[in-house]
Amino acid sequence: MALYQTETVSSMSDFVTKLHTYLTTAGAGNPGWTSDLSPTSGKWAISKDDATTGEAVEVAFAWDTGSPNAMSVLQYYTGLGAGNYNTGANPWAQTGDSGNGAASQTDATILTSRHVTITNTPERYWAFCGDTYAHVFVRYSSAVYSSFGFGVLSKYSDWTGGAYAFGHKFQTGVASNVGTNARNSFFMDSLAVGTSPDAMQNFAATLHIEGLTNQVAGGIWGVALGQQASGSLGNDRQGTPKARVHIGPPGGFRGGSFATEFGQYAGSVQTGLIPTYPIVVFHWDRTGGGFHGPLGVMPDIRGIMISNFEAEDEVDIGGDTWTIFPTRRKGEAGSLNNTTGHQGIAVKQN
Amino acid sequence: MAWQSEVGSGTDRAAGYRDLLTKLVAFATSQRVSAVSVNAAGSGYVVGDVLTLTHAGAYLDARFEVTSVGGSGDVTGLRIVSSGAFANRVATVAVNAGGSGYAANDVVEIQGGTAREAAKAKVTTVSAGAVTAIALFETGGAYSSAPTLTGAATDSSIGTGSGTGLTVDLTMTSLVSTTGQAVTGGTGSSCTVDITLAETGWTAVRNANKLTLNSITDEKEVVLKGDASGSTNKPYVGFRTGTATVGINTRYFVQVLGMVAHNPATALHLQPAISPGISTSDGSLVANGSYILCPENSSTGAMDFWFSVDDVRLCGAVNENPTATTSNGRYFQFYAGYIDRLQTETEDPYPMFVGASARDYSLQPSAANDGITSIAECRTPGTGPWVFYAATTGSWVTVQNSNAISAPNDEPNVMFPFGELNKDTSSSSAQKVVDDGLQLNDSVIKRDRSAATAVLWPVPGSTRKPFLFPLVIGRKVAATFAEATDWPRGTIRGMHWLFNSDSTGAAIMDFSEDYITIGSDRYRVFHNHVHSSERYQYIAIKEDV
Repeated sequence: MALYQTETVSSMSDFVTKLHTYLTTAGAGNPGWTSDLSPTSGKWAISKDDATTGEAVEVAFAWDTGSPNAMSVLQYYTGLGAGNYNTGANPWAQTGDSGNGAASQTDATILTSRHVTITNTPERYWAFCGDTYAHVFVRYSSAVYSSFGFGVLSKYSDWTGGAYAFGHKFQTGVASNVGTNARNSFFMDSLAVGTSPDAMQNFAATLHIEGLTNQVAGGIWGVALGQQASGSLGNDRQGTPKARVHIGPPGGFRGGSFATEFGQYAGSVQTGLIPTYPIVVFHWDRTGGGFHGPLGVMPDIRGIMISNFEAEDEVDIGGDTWTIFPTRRKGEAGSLNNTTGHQGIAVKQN
Repeated sequence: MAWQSEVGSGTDRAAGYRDLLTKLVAFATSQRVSAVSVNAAGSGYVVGDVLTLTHAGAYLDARFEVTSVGGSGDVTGLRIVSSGAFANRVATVAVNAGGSGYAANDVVEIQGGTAREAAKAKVTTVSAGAVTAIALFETGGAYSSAPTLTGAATDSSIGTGSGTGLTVDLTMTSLVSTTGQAVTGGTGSSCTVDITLAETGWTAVRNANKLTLNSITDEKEVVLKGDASGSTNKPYVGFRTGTATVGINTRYFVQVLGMVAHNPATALHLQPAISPGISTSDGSLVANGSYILCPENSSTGAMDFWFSVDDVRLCGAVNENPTATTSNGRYFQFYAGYIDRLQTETEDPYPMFVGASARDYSLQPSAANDGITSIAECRTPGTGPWVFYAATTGSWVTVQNSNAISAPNDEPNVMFPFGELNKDTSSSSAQKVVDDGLQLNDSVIKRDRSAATAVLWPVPGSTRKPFLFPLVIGRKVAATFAEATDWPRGTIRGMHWLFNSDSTGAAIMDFSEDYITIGSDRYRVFHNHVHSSERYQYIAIKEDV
């Protein structure tokens, strides 16, 4: 079941507090996540177990209380299930941290790793939740959006893992359509690539996964990237040589077979046909070559071309209500600066 | 949904190209077993036993697999593995009044009654043009209300003759009873079953034996109309048998056609919007149609087949190689009828898709030829063999994935996941919303039929199985989307593409028609014709029972 809430907000603190209250309030219409650390002093943590698979989603966040522009999105894995956040350690120093997201509360440092731009004057947020996921969109400036989220993939088969987290990295100062720019990372991406000037492996979505073919012994993390070199996938926070396995690229949000085939149709309410495509995740074995899977899909969220839609439009598809957002900001040909063109995302609400 | 497989000697496999079509028609127009339960459990059975239900009115037997047994081998669970083709059929036919103007081998249709397929008879002997002996021909029909049994009228217009006045006396088989039916086979004895019957959902609105192709005057010509419950517009699909003479060889085939309506009073080639492969002037064969190729140089060459039929479409696979072993089968797929459209019936009134693996009827069936391409690959340049009907233009459009790996490799009408649509590549365009990235069709699927440069391993987990990709038709005629004509057309019902390789690179399934189990469903797997060395060239068909 998808659960949904939207509220106006006035600051980073106000945003996190309201989101935390909503996510951790159990009951009808509320997701009931475990409150590991209430938002305080620029730190926040929640977790939840997936009753079906036993997978635990363990996430934490950090921001600069003096200059709260961006929030780190951190994911960790204790192996003990929800509710095992160590309040004596920083959000980025939890057991089994993925390594994505800065080990810092300084805004400038936060911007060098996985984060989401909120600013201290956000306008509104939307939280789209299911039993074990939360996808959050924030309008932090007029017509400008960011997003982050976490949850458990809708998995195919019973491989170990499934918990994911993603942030929103957008490269500014680009005149052309940045929707397909490699120095961005959105959702479970398939085009993010590069080590300089941005180490994209540190901004990418992470996925808890174990036991994959040619996965390094003890490795528990995968990163959602494009055609990143196998030696440039990064290490986790523990510093041990746990090679990350590469999740991509025949699937993903911005490329691959599903997006290319189905992501170019501009549906509309007038025609009554609103094509969207699933964000499908594969494992790319960079040691042995080839792809495994698909592993699963992101739940209740799909790519969409928004030529005929505006941000925050709500559409009915088969009796379900979906909200549409641009990946960052809708842009038109001739004025694509700092926009994502007609690239968008559709999110299911309840 | 109905599923029928006939494999190997001792079964009802097709005995040649005409028999293949006759069996398909019988299957589509009969009733199927839609549910089975144990009546008397018997004893001595083991799990995996296959039990056969036959009957005088069964043109194709039903078969059930024992899924569980008790301590004494008493059957406690059954699964349908072939639905069967049951009907009240004409059992015997005899001359009542001989009429005039008949000749031996004339085929007549028995009139009267209510039938999804009318029975036929063939004249055995005549005396001065009056029929003196006659025999049942093809299936015996499929009746819900029997014709008059004494002095039933006949019609010779379905055959090459022109006689009149013949009437016949009939006996009927009756429809199989649904309770306490004895079954044969397996290791035990005395099991009986209760069954539920349901219509498979097609009616033969044309079923003639007078088509002239390649100087043969009695080829079959069939049009089936689907019930398509819930749809105002009904699917019409056509089939023709024929031959081609190539040097000293005779090639046999079944042609697959589609149309959007049917007028029984006019010739097949004049039907509204008939699909490619038939001259609209005279009905002759023209290049670039859709053909199931049958054994060369033998009109009765045996063929294994697998049919999947529901009331909007018929599809399946045929192994043309009559002496196939586990490694050298030659599988031709076919599909005729509606796909699962993505729009409403008002917007897309006829979501017709027809095709078969061969584009050219004169091809040697064993040839590794560009003109032979699976429903997923759709590789053949030019028209056919896989086409869909575009209602907005009133024309048939070929689904074609490029046969080249290098650019240009963007096509307007493609079959996912092999195809790659035209797309906007300009970084100054707001429509550039996706990039190629690394796609399946760059490495895993080699559209030039070269060896795959990457492998798609099965889904990880405790039991690794290949992922069954849907086959989806996409259409985008230009870089800039045109709402009136460009959208995903729909999904091929019940057929999937898969990559057949385990984590070691070995084939998971061999070529002997293995199946995959997903939940309670089975999918029968076939490789694409002679391209059996490529692990990406596999099709799975759902055994929808």
